[in-house]
Amino acid sequence: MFFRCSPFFRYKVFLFIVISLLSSNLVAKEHTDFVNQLISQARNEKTWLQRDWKALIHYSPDMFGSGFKSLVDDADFFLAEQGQTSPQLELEATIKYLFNSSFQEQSIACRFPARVAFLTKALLIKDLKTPALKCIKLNNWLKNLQADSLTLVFPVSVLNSPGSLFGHTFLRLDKKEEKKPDLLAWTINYAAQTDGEKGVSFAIKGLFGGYPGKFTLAPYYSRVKEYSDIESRDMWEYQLNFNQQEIKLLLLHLWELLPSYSNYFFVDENCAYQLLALLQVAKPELKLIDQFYWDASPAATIRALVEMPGLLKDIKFRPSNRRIIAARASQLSVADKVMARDLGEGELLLTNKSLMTHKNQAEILELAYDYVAYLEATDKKILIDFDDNSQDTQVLLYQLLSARNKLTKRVKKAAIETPRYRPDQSHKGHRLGIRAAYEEPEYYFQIDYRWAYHDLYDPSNGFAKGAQLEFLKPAFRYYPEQNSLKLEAIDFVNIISSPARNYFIRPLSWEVSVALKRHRFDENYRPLMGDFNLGVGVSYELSKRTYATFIASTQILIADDFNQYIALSGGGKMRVISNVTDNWQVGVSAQIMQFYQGISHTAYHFGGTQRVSIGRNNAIVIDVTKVQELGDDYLKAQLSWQYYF
Amino acid sequence: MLTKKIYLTVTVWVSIFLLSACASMTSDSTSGSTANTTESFSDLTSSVSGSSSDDGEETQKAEVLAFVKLNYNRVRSDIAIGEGEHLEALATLLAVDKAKHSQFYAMTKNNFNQLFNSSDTTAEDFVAHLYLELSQEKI
Repeated sequence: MFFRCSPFFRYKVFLFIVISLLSSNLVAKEHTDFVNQLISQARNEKTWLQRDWKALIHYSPDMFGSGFKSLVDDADFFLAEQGQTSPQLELEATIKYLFNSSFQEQSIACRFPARVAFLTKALLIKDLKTPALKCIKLNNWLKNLQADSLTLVFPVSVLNSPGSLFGHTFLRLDKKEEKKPDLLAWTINYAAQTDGEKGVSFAIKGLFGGYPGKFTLAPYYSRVKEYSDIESRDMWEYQLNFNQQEIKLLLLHLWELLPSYSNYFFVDENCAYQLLALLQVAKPELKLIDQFYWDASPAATIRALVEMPGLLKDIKFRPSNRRIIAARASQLSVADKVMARDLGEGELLLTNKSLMTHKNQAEILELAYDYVAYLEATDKKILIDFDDNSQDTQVLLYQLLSARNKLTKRVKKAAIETPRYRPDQSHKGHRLGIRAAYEEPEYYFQIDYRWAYHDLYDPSNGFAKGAQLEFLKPAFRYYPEQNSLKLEAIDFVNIISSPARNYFIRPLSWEVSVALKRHRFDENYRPLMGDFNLGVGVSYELSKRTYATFIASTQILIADDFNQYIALSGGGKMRVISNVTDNWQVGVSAQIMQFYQGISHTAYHFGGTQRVSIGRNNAIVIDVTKVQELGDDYLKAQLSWQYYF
Repeated sequence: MLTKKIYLTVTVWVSIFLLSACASMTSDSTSGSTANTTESFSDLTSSVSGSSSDDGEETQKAEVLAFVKLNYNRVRSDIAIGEGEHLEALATLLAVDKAKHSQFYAMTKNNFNQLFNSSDTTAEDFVAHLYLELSQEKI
């Protein structure tokens, strides 16, 4: 193209280039001075030590406690090469990039708007000396998300999905002023990007930070579907006291984080922890994340938020679809419930006469539809035994609605009781137990510690009924007569899931445990053994406060004492537990197991347990059991004090 | 002694397998519905991140469709009954005036069999039909 230009034109172009080079040099000089001035100012004031800056870059004390390390692991998040470990270098690099005259200034400023806001404020920059920032993408994004209220949502844990054992938390951006329905609000979620990986490699990677964790945005309706409809989890919505300005800061910082990843650790650097870090950027005066150096369970982080004075505005309970169905069913008579279920399972036709003339036809049709939709969402179609003539689920769903549509009756919504205790009102996860006990013929003291989380006889307020989840519980016994201290057991995992069955929802109960434990041949010989248990069964609610569980179980013991080192047994157990009051619980249990491999022997135990809670974080437990393990039977009685922290 | 070592190794692995906090295991949930969920939002999120065109009408249509697709069973039953949280959200997405919501609910309930003509009616069919009804009813 160039050679076609006239000489005169060429001369003009040359002149233009020279002039612009000269002027840009001048501008560059001015900018360098400005940058140097800012850097020396920052060095004087040690600006990088400010809490806001540490929060923005997610610095946390490093392993030795002497320096810092950012929890963000993506190199793109840092402007200085050693930015991940040096707050000062990162701050200086940010100043250089932001206020330099190069063309990058716009893109860097638009990439890190929260840093710009911080530096402008911290260094009292009045005149940015950069062209006015026009971050079109950022501004559009902000306009869509900007909210006037912030809600932290906690879908409670369900034991049937290993990924949700401890519950989960995410943030919701509400537009209360324009009364936007909650379902349409945006949510901010932090999760491991696992690409559907499961099983052992999933767990190992999750524990040791093998997955990148990222923030993602999704409408609340998709979360409600996922948790309430598919996973049957109740959700607690904690509306937090954040004003528009703070929410904007939070969003600006979220914008910085969206493209970056941090290694995801299940135990500490997890969803709950990262959300706290995000909240802390918006309200740096909250000292939230310092409390969670070692581990951060979602329930514990919510407890911390609730305990912050003035931070909580309102709490709402969103029952799971399963709970709604149960509530609707409880309004109907048994005959009507059976009708709804039969309709849903294809055993009763819509043309049935007694249905067509039934005064509760609308209620029955709605319940039948909800039931089929529930089965479909939770993928429990196998439970429906359609006969050959009947058509598939989709047709049934459509017909049920079509029939319901013809009725004009308005069905009164079932009132659903909000549970009297919220997850944040539950006892804390770590537990210390001190027990004085008698095990025929000896007295002993036992001390045990549990890392997490809840057992059937812990104070049950705020927990799902019939759920137990224990990890890592070492126990030591001291025998005063022999003056000896011995390792009694290490429970690695002990999970019990015993949800009650009803007309519509019929979940199975199950339990699993893995431990290293002493088992008694006789009073002088109690060797440590590997102990695996697995059981499946059913649970029913006997009254509002009482439930019973029946389990068929199998046990594997591993020790040198058995033929080929292994003993197998099969048997069953039952348990009835009642929360007589919120603070007083009683339970009885019995178990019988027949060993048929490795040793031939019948083992059993039966007994009772009582627990009285004192406040939220203390409990006294008494249990008396008659036990027969691998030898003769004996009596065991324990008085325990349990402290939760 | 060897057995104990083997046992210990197994134990640790099993406990590790079971130990996991708040990983949102979207992929673990049953059926493909959640997988679809995440997919359908990448569009929406990108419209939020400002990359798609500023055509308001197209964005609204995309949002309505994403919402209906994901909550088809809910939307359909709310319409059949004539009320519900998902129906309210749908009306809001369609920018139906708050004062005219009950009119909208009545219109959709009365037209249930046209909007959903059989069990084969897809979310796309329904949304297309709904826009048509809306333009005629002038809500």
